[in-house]
Amino acid sequence: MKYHYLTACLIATASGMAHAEVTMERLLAAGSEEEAGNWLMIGKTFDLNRFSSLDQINTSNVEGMRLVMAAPIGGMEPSGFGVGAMQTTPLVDDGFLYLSDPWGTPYKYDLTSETAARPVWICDTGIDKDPSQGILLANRGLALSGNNVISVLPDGRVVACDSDTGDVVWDAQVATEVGEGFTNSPQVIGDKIIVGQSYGDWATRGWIAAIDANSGEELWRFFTIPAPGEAGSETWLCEQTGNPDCWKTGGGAAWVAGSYDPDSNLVFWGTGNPVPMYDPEYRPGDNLYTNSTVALNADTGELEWYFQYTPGDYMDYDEVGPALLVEANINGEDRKVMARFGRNGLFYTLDRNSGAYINSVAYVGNLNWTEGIDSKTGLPIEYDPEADLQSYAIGRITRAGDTATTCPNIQGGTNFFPTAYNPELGLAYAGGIEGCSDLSVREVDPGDVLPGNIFIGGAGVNSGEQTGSINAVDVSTNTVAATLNTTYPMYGGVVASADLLWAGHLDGTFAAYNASTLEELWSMNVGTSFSAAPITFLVNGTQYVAITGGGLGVGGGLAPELSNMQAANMLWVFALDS
Amino acid sequence: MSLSSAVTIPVAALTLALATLDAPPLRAQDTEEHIGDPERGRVVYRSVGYCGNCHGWAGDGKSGTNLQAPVGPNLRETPLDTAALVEVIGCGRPGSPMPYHDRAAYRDGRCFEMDLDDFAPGTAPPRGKTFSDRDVANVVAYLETHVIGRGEPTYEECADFYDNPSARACAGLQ
Repeated sequence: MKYHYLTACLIATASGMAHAEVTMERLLAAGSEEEAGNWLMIGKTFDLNRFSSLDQINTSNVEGMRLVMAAPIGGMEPSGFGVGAMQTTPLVDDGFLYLSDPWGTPYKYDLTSETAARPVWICDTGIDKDPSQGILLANRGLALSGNNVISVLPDGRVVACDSDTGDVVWDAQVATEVGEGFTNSPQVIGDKIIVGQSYGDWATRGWIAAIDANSGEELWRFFTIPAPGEAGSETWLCEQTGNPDCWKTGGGAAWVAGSYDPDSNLVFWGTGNPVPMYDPEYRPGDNLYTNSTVALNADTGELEWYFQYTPGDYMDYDEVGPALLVEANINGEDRKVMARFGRNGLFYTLDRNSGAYINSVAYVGNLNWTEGIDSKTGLPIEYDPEADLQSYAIGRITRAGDTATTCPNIQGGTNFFPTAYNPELGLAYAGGIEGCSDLSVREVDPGDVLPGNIFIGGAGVNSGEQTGSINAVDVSTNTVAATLNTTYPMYGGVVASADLLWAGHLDGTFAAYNASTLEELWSMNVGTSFSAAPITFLVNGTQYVAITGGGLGVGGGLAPELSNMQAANMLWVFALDS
Repeated sequence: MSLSSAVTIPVAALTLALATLDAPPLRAQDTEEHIGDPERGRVVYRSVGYCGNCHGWAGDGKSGTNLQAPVGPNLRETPLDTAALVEVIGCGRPGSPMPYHDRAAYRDGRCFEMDLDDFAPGTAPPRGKTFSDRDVANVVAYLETHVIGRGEPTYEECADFYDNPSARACAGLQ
């Protein structure tokens, strides 16, 4: 036994020294047979499909899954809003696994023994785990670039760590304004790293920027809230309010990394809600480019197109969730499309090159905020381009005291939750919330707005019980092909492999489903709440599935009956019983 | 006293009672127990009760409040006297999200002579972090010394609150 362990260590060390740098060529080939055993970026591939062709584990044998490795992860120190959420998607290269804790600290684990997840290094970013910081602490994953592991931090820095040693290679303070920082993951494209300012319910202005992958030097920045005079600024009617600076705290944070199409060289990032989220009277207008997908030239940051899902929002329907890049036959025509689950309860399909609306379908069980979507524009049919303040089907919420109940819940539908697409079945998948929220306005004087502080302008509270669902949408036919209703809201991601779909639940259950029917085929409760997405990969030729678990985080507010579940950040690795 | 489940305390009446100086405190405590330590009270407010989640670090209901918590009243302008503060911290505020912190609240009659079962479903105060009687007095002493009537919060107050001059929560005040 001892001999085997030593041998494994030696092999691991040798392998650790030898594994290939992560070049753009490898990233472009991340979905190929050669890279099938690895998981080189959070979405598996640039299209964020989170689909693995590995099929050693499949519907015929998945009931034989068991827990084979586990490791505790740090980063439990709370911010001002409590213990952070474990939302990282791990990465795997050649049997070594990389993940981040809620403070953005990168870890490397050696799985090559196949008996234990042994820590290789923890990169010390020097983060000040300041408990006064009023932020929702989370980190959604790392990126691999050459011989570096890239992480974005809540204090606004981007850090590169040497993937062999864990030493800091460079460290760049990219976000500099009060209240700015990162919770998402970086997106590596060649010699650039795209990052997005993530604190969007705070009094900040959103942006997406590219930095040099070798130095951290900033190359371009796209503000999701235009300044006066810039295109889109006409949708911020700040002058009407007596506060001409309302755009400066307009939100539109980009708190989930986007997808990338090498053919068009466009990145597709989602943007968050306008701020304050519940008080449109503070920021009349459509509020571009909030609640939108923006397609940006990866080299210049120039806006190629945008699509705004819910103009003049007052329901907190951020649209940061992943944009799946898919090729689908729609109405007899093979098209390159961008398909995504909206937080507003609708699944949208757009033309990937123009942003033109193709179709949409409701995927949540209860959607009341709009009577439907205009088949030409893709906008809600209640939308009035002449109106300063939109009034959707639930009516306005106002400073005068009008309230409303919106379905889905303010948190979705889906949210930041990683989604997946199985190209062999033509199905897109997402977990989400089933329920509604009660909305009200609380007027805040502009003089009382604290820069960088939380700023929501009202309240959105659960309206009754919240449950969950996993949905499979057929992109070609624009129909919901299968739905699985869940006891608790789903608050994490999914991954598709061969004929299976994998997902973790808030109550600590990790499960595998039939990819076509969503019938549960295997599950195990390990006791840590899941708000991350799983991955699947090979170690020494054997297929594994891994996911990180932790505390309930914001998702816990949707399931009060789970409130006694404690936080413990863990890596869980599963495989077939051999 | 056992009230039917339909009986609740009207909030307006409660507010009036709490604000009235000559209303006798509902809990029997000797004077000595009301002499608290404001420095210990600051720690309890900050790191035991997490009162700032709703009231903010400054107690103003906005500075540093938690996105996941309801917005609490501005304690810097509260009309409550010592006895009323002790009662609200111990028993919570029925009909509002203000939690109770007394370990025996709604179990031995000390809070309005009511049990949790006496409230209509969904109207009982939530349970907060448990404070000793001494810490209730300490929090009241902290509020009366450093919060009530103090006007707009300052950077110096923030740095003192967190024991950290570079606390990120204070950055916007510099």
